[in-house]
Amino acid sequence: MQPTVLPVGGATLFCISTDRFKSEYFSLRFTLPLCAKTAQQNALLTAVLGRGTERYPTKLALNRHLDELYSTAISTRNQRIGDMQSIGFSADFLGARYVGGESGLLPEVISTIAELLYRPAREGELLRSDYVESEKNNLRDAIRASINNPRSYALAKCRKLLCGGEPFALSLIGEEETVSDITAATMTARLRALLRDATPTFFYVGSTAPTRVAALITEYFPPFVGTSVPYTAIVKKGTGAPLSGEEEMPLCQGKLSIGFRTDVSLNHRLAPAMLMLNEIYGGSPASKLFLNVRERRSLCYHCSSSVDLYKGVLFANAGMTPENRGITEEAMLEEFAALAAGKITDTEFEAAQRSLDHSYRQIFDNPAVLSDFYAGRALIGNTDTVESFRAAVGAVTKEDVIEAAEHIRKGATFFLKGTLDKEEGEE
Amino acid sequence: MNRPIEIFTSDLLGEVYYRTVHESGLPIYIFPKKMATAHALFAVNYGSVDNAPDRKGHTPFPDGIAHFLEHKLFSNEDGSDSFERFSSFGADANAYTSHTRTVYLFSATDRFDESLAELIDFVTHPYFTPESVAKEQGIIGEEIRMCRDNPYDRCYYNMLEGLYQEHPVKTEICGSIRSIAEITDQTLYDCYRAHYRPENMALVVCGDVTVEQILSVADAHLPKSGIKPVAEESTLQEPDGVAHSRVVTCGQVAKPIFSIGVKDVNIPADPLERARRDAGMAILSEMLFSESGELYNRLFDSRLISPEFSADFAITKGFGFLQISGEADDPDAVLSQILAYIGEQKKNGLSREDFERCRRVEFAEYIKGFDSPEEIANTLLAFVFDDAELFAYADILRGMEFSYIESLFNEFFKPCRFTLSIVKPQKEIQKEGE
Repeated sequence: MQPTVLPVGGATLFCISTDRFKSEYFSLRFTLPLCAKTAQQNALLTAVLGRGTERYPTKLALNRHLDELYSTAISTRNQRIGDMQSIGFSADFLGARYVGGESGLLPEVISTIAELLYRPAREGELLRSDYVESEKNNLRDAIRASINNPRSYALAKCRKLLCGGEPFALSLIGEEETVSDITAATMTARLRALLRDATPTFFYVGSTAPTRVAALITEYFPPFVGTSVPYTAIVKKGTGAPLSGEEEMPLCQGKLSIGFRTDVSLNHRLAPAMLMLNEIYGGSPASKLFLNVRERRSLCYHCSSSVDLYKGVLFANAGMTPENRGITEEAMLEEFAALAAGKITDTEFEAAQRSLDHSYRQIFDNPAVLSDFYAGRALIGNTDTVESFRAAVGAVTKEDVIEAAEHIRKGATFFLKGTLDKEEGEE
Repeated sequence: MNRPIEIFTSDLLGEVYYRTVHESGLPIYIFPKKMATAHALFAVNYGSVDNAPDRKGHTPFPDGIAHFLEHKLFSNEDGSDSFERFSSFGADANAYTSHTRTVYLFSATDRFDESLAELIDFVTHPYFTPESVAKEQGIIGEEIRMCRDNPYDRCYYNMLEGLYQEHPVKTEICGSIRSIAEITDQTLYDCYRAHYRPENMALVVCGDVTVEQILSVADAHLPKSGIKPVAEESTLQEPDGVAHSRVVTCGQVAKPIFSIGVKDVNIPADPLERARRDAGMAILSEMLFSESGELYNRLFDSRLISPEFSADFAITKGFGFLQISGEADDPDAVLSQILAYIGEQKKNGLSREDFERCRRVEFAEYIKGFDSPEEIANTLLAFVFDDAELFAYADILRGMEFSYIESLFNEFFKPCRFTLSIVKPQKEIQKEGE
């Protein structure tokens, strides 16, 4: 299932023509430099735009319109990709066969997304100030709520230590102090700059022919005149002494996050081997972290790793009784050292290879993940298909994994120490 | 082997699934679907609530045993771990325990039959030792601590403790560190024998598979007959009223979070009626509490709630409740507004137009649920264990009458059945104590 790629009004459309799903998927994404000044405004902008359009000026009217479109869901996007920020909208809606018409709900979905961007609810020339103020409050709440999830809090702190000073370390929703400076004028200027300077990528999965989808986009969107912002990511193996940080919170558990950096990006020849390294280390229930640190040593319930090769970072995370922090960290690093030294059994290696192969085959069942695979790779000039990448993972050898391990180095550790004593936690 | 196979078809969805019963008594459901991933569930109709105290107040097993069993079954007599075996086939295995069931599962894009054989083998061959139980107490202890640190879990369980006076649904699925300390290899064997009976279980498969393929693996790996002890019916009586109308605790949250529970005290014994009530409550919740409703927009515009606000209805044979959750500076004010809105609606009457819109939403969501083998398998299992039929739900939605929703609305929302659970930031609790 390869996407058809079409130019459309200065932008790019990826289309996967299929009738295997009952629902369809359409998305638009802008990829922008991730910088402190604009990241927060970009995040806020999608929220403000989602409040209403000229045709549906309130959240109530807009939501009822989406209900009438057989419960179409339009979600906002705000993600990190390398040192860039990807924002936009995606829609999940019932397929044409259930709603009738040549292209079913697609024309109305494309029209609604175009309205969010080009005909948002305004007062005069500006975006509505009451919506901006209301979304500023919601954004403040979201920033403060980072403490509600200790695991992601610890991970974010580790990311900041690991990539300090680089865009990747920035929060995608910014810091609380800068929210109050934002006004309706700032937001309107940000929207204008976005439409002027950036070019979106569209992705569609459904039964409508690609040329028809392209025609619909041309019908509802004005031509895009902006140039594509060049993709950037600082991908490097860490140097210098690893950094460490610790904070306390009134929790029962401690949350440990260990960050590694690598100079292997998705475009590097060792990329499949680096993904294998992560899989063997902590990427699956057959990994070293799961089987040895959790199952055999009984130190944690949660112990795993994840890798991001757009940036070249790997994080290993675990939750444990605070007094077991030392022994757990040691165990996690011992497993990494064993891996790097080539202590990989055939069983571990083959399980990791099959597990990764399964993950890539599964992509075909999920339009959103499929869109991330192709749109993400297009951004970095990578021409892999799901099939070719699967083949590359299948060709990785143990020697490749050991070589990949030479390209990765621990750069930071963050520990969120739970301060509730055992009894309090058990009550 | 010849055996009766029932066929269920849906013209609306263009889907079909099959049901048969293995000679051991195990019901098997096969939902062929041409997708890359196939999903299999081997489930036991046994969850945390099936541990109600007897007349003398003794619970049959320590709390948390269903979940403990779920963890321990992955260990095999030869010292291997089934997770490793699944991985060797490239399958992604997992398991979960809910209030009402224990489910072992895997998804695979290759070598499906070998994984299915492993699923059947490990679930039907328990092996526990004192040493492995002790080791698991450590792992589950950490899971319990992790849940304690999760304010949303705290808010949910406190809501259940507020809603229920007797029913074991109020007991945490994982149990407590104290209760799991009482679990031994012997209690696990006893519990296994009491509940892991084929006729109390189900095998559900959805994916690019055939009926013959699944039955061939099942025949080769399932025992010929199951153990059939007499299951004891619980004599538990849950009073209509709630245990506590307000439960407040503190946690690691920036702003108070809340869960408002409304207890269902009229659970139909008839499965079809129960499914109708479930569909009716889904439509009613959509009408009253969704982002397309007046109430949400009123609360949101007046800044009483944060954008994330949801309402979900759950119903099984033994219990049912509506949960309305969100984040608010003043959850008590949110509850007052909800009660006032319900009062207004009772006085002015529900809107027929809203009903039609929300029924359409539910219908669309039902159809969209048939794109994922995982979702299909899990939904089918929920219907199976509730003695209901998956495709009949579309007919229930089609045939839903406005008058039924009106009567449901008038009967369901009684103030004495509400509980408000709040998790406040630590500093607010300190302020209140000053």
